[in-house]
Amino acid sequence: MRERGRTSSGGVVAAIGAALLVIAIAAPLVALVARGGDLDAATERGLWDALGLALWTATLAAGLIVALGTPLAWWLARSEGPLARAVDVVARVPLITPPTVAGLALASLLGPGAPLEGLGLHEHEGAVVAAQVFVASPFYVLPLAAAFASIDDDLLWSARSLGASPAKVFARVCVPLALPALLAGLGVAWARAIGELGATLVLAPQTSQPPLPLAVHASIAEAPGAARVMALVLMGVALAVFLILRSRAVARGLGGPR
Amino acid sequence: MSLELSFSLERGGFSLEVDHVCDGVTAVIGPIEAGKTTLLRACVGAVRPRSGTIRLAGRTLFDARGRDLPPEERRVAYVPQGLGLFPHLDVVQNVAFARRHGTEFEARRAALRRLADDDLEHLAHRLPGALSDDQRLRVALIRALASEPELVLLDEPFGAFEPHDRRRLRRAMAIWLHEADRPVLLTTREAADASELADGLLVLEGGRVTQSGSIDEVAVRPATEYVAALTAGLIDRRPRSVPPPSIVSEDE
Repeated sequence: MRERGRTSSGGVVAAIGAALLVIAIAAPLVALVARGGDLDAATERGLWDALGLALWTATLAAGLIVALGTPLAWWLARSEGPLARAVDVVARVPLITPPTVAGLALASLLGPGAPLEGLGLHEHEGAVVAAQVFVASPFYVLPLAAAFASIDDDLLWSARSLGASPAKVFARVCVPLALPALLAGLGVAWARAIGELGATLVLAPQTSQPPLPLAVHASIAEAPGAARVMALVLMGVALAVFLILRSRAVARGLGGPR
Repeated sequence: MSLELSFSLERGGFSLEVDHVCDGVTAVIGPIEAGKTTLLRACVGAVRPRSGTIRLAGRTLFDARGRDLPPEERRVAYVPQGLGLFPHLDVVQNVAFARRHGTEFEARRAALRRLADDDLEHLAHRLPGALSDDQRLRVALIRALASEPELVLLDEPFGAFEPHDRRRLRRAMAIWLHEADRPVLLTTREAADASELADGLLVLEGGRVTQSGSIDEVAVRPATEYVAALTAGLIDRRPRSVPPPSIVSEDE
């Protein structure tokens, strides 16, 4: 009985702590919605163009992350040894890199006077995409690598023994089994990409048209009502994509586990 | 058609050495960690021997001096412990996955025909997770044969079952093996599996073949204490039509 009493009082403390954190996360967002804003002012300040730019750059960045990150995740999941451990650390680095540092690092590589200046990325939206790929890739690569690693080796050897090439096994077995993690990771990466501000701010302070996070940032002081509307649109889009991609129904529909 | 194993391999402090020719159904028997699964994995191409060769029906699957056929070209169907059914594909998709040639559509039709031959067509659209253990085993065996293998590897096929189910499963497996009519390596830790299903026995202990031959030979002259304990009582249970073990000849 005493044991039971102790666990339940511990349970109460834990529940209060958990509730406080949920409130700490939800309350600012609720307050943002409650404050409302000025849609006309936001439109005047280029809300829809900024949204369009953010949408296509984030989608392009997500496409690049899938194209480059899927093989990386597979390699990380199936490799051992010092090189694999080192690459694993590199893949995680963007998570702990401060946004301004990321921006400065990218500018040192791609900006004026830098080794890859010739690509001209700093002069147009390529800078935005580069920053998005940098900050968002771990959110896709790491969960996907964990999902690939959890697939039983014997399942794959058995599949090969039935006459399937490695490519067929990857496409028909590995990707479908990892699909929930792949889509959920993609949703987070896309949402993270569309909201990218810090690195873009350093790397490309004046592209002709700022993407939505930059537009929000630029409006906060002069037109807070417009900034709040832009922020809500940004949050709404990110949340919608995140929720759709992590839903089981979508994974099932694309051939994932039922 | 025979399987000629003559290789040695090393994996993290464990070594396996085999020099044996398998014909018909061979039971690979041994305690846990004896190297039974590693032996099967070498046959399928999942682990690479350090030296030696693996030959199947005259084809060289592996030669340490420069040949290592990929698993998909070996024609060796591997049914691992846990059976290896794809959990996200239904039964007919699982069977149709074993496709050597032809279109997806043809593979699907052939898979449905194979299921119908075994009176399992009512399971065609179920996922493996919705099948009984019996049904899963039958589907795994159907899928293995659908890949038109020249050798089938069964790793403890009754591992998922309660001991009292084994007698019934062995009867079903004996029929399947007869119909499959091709070389099979079957790992087990039960002497009864070997005596009722296999033509020959390969005893593995600590990565070494400690004895091989027919079940009678092995039972009569156990080479190690493990084999003696394993086969104790087996002879008494043999049906009378089998000649007494003492007159079984030494060769083969």
